[in-house]
Amino acid sequence: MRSDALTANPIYWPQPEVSGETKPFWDACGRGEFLLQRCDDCGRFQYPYRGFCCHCWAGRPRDVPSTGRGTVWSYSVVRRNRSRGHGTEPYIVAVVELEEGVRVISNLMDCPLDDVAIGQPVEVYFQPLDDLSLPLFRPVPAVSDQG
Amino acid sequence: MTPTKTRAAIAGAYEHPTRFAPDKSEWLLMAEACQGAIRDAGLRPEQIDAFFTSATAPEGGWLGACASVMAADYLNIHPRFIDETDVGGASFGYYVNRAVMGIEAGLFKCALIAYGATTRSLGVNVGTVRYDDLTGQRISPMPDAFEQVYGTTVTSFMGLLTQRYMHDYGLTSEQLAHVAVTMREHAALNPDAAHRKPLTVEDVLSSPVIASPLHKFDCCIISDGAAALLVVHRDLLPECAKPPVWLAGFGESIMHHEGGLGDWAAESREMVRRACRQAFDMAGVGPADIDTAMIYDAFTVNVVIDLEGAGFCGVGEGGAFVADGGLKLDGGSLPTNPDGGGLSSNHPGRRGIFLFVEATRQLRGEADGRQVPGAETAMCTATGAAFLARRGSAAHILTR
Repeated sequence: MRSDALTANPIYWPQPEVSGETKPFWDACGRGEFLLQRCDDCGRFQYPYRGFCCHCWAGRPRDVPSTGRGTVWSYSVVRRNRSRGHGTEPYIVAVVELEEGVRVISNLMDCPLDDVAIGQPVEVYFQPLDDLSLPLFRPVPAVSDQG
Repeated sequence: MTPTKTRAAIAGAYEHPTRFAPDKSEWLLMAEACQGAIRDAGLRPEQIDAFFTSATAPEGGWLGACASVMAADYLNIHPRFIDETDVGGASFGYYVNRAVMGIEAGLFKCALIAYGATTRSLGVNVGTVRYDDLTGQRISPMPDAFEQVYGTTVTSFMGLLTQRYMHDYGLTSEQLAHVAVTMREHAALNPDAAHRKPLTVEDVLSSPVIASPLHKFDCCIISDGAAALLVVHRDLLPECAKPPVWLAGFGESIMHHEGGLGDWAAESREMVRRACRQAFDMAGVGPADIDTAMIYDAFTVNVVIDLEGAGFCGVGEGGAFVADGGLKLDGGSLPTNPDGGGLSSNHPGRRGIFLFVEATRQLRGEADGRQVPGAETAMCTATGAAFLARRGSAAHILTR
């Protein structure tokens, strides 16, 4: 039970590659913004960041910072990852549904493994790595905790 | 209803009996399977005019880029048509489809579909590593930088899918455990199966969690293995040693992330539905006409989703279907994977080809000790390529 009570924090993130196409997303992360895009023609959001509108192929996708708030759409507590760099501590991979309706993959941090649930309110924050800042999510504190 | 037939039939099928072959290469295992299939068919290697195989690197061997030409060289065959469409473990279903299409179009008459992998001997942890770690490549800017960086593995993706499917459709871990238990019961009847020791629901539920809600026994085994099929034009059947197993209908479909707007849980089932509907429509039959099913059971949840997608039960009813014994050889309404499936019998990196070998054995009445009595029509469904929700399904109706 001891490990179940621990807060889930993966100990290792590999360094992702950044291309010219995706650089605006990562630059925004450095400013503390989680960038979505919205097409000026069809109006739909898209993620991950790309250089054209994948919905209508016609309009220009405009950068739209997300509110960074959403809920857990699904999750998995990963207890075995034998990749280089990973240890044996469990961690949470989550699909977060942002308020804009877009579903993104990330880690749910600072959350006791027993507490994670579909529908749980979460918010984005940014973890500095060597060359960029990585968007992660954590539970939104309950109102009573905010005093 | 009796299915309509295409002009193509499986004339030869062979599953290598090994599940662990550290002294052989995956190339040799594939060659031995090809020898087995050509013997089974009563044909000669020089008659092969089309060839389909899948890369085994990185998960199951060294066969990588240009896999079909490289393997044709090793086997020393001279096909005029090749293909290596990659949909992960479902690839072999796509090869069967392309073989039928090529035969119907008059392009070739004798297609060899082959696979060999030494995943177990190589000690590859297919389901529990990031893909970049498997390949030794870096985290690509698109899409891995937005996904794999978070420590996703194949099993964690299937965990995400299973968790949401449970939430939306009332599926439970206990129901899923019945899939693993039934596959193990079937494997006990198959002398070649890798794992034949009985398993209980409690065993499954108390096995270690790999990526929640999936336990160890919700996940397929890792084996070495090989198989080969010969799909031929009906003109060749008079030369063949055994009665044909006809391809009656086939379908395929893919899914992906829909630019971030997709519902992976519902779409996983609807993808299977699209593939199965095409197969049923082509064959002119429906779920009630199927005597036995081969469902690619990479994870227990795959079986539930395929049952619902194919229409063997309603949406949200797959859990009860498997818990009530619907898959069982002994009394189930849809005897499924009599060989023990990927959960207990055989699963190198890509299982899809073995579905067709077992379907052929069943429809020929050759499945000693695990024969579905009087089986005339079989269905194969497979979903592969679990790079998160980028996946493909294939469905087939076969008949004797």
